[in-house]
Amino acid sequence: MAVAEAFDLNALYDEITSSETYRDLTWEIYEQVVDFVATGGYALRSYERFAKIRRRKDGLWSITHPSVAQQYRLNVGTIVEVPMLNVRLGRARSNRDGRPGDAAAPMRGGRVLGKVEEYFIETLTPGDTFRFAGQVLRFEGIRENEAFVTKSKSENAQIPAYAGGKFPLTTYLADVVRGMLADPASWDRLPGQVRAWLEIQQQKSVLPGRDQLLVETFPRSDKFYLVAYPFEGRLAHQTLGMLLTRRLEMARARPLGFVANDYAIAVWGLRDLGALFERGKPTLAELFSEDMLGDDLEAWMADSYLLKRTFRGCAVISGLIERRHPGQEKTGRQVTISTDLIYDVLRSHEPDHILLKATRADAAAGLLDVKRLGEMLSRVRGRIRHQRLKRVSPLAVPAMLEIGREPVFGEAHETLLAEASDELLSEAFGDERPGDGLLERIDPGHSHTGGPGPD
Amino acid sequence: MSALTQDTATQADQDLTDTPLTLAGETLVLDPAGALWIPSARMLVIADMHLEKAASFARRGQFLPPYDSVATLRALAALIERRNPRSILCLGDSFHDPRSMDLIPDPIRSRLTALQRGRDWIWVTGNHDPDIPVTLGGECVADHRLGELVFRHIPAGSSRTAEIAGHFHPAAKIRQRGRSVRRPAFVTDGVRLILPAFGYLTGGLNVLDAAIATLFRPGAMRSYALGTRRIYPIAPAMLQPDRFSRLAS
Repeated sequence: MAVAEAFDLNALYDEITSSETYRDLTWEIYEQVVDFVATGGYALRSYERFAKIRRRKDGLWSITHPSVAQQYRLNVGTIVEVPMLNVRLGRARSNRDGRPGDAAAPMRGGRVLGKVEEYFIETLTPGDTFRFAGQVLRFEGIRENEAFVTKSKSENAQIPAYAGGKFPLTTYLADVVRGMLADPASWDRLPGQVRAWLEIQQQKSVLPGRDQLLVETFPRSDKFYLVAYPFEGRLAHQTLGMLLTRRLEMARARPLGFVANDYAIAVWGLRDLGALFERGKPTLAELFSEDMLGDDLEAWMADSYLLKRTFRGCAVISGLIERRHPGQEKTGRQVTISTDLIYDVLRSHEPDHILLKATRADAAAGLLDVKRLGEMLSRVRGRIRHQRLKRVSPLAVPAMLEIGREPVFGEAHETLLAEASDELLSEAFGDERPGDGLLERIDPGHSHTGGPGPD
Repeated sequence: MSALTQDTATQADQDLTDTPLTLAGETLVLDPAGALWIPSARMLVIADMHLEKAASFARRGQFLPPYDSVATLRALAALIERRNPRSILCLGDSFHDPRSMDLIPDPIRSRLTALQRGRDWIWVTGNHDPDIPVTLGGECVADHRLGELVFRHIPAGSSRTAEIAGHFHPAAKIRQRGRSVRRPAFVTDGVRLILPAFGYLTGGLNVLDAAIATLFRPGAMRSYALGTRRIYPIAPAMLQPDRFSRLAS
């Protein structure tokens, strides 16, 4: 508001609360928001000298400098859009062995084929092939805001990708989907590929009945997986995933993480989950019992990465974290301050900060699906069907493909680090301590060329 | 940096594991807090605190929580209490923004003064803090020598100099069981040693990035990733580049 013209604190409050959406806005929250805009709204008043808006002598609030308006206008628009990258066809490099991160042979740019979501490109490693703009392309790397690709000789793309809608299925639609899956007679309305997929599922595993919850367990490489198919939408599944992982951890099943999509949830761990369930340690009924919702939802929420993810959205929308401005992309120095760290520091120093309040409110809205989750758990009580498989089932594949995009689960960090370093000792050094006696073996011809630092 | 775990730091202190390292005949200790401990000189070395980084962003209108300096200095205070050093060497970029050197809030100044009491304090200058005002106490130098060891912010010596530096905020990334973990890390080839950033709001540069990797003799680079209670040595073959690997422009 201040960007347009100076405003009066009381008059603006009246104007805002006259709109339906904000009719319940309290004066306290309103003041905190104004304070947030002015100086970040911290109890520690250290940013007064940098204030963006200030109360003038005539009592009106106005911006302190025209640059504030410019900065605001560049960031305006609160829809957090998926960042996109240009896909540019590059000319093949001289070095064709495709080592990741190889920066030796810079790539010449060709024409732009289109745009693709950054999160998709982030899951690729140089050398991966994917289908885009009707061609099979080989991913080469990212420079600034462009993804460089070359034409691949291969006919088949390695990376199939499907990013469906982000809205959960309605309960009604979910019920119809479950009904269709349970009724092979209705499959002739489905495309051939989907029909074939379901038929293979029937051979390799089973299809759940309309009111059943199918839970499959199987090993894959060095891990054990549990995939369940509640069809309740991503939000409810994410909540379920957190709670299941917690429970499995308490049952010492050593879960490592989980992913959720609209149809299914996959949890993986280091112990054979199928064997645990068969021995009843725990039973699946215990694992999926409704009392998980009462358990310690609050405690979990405070720590959950879901809240951190919600905070990231709040931080961007509120302008705490700025998106890239035009012209800044090229510096290659985007703000990479981790919003997770900001969340942690804020939570420990100022748990009542307006942004944390907003985050909790947002997360609670997202967790409305707790209601849906509760309904599902009560619906499937006594109707959980466990299939212990030797390998991944067709139905599990979409969920499995999402693995690798989710962060590692809590304590697992240290386990993974320990494993990586233990392997090092046997692999590289044997009994020799690293670092000893290397001085004597210097190559005198080697010179150091210092590159630019991160800062 | 796990500066926020200070509440649990005291009980964790007992089971912290040191990782020894020999450089130019001097025995050094890599501390899981991200610092270097030199037992013979009772010297503690930390790099890249980037104090008042949030304030520097606030100057440009981005109001990050103003608690980063406190978090960093608390972690440092815990470390000093645990090691009881005779001297402390800050290896450059101790302050994020040269323009706000005279605007450092009093609580931060007094915390610094309290830490300096009874100990030698050496500021090595960095690209972010080319000059440290005398009012902040301590001695301000461009580089520092201790026996054969040379301390400077940006590595500059020949490949024979046993050099200890910061500047790059090295981070090691590993991939196990299909999951990756990225942690601040020490990097060395037995001649040169680069420290991880000690500051709270500091990012990291992958140790495989050319800017870091070319500082070391090919094949000799060793990374030591920081865990919560111990250091994890990582062999070169285990290191992963960042997915978002950038091509040379």
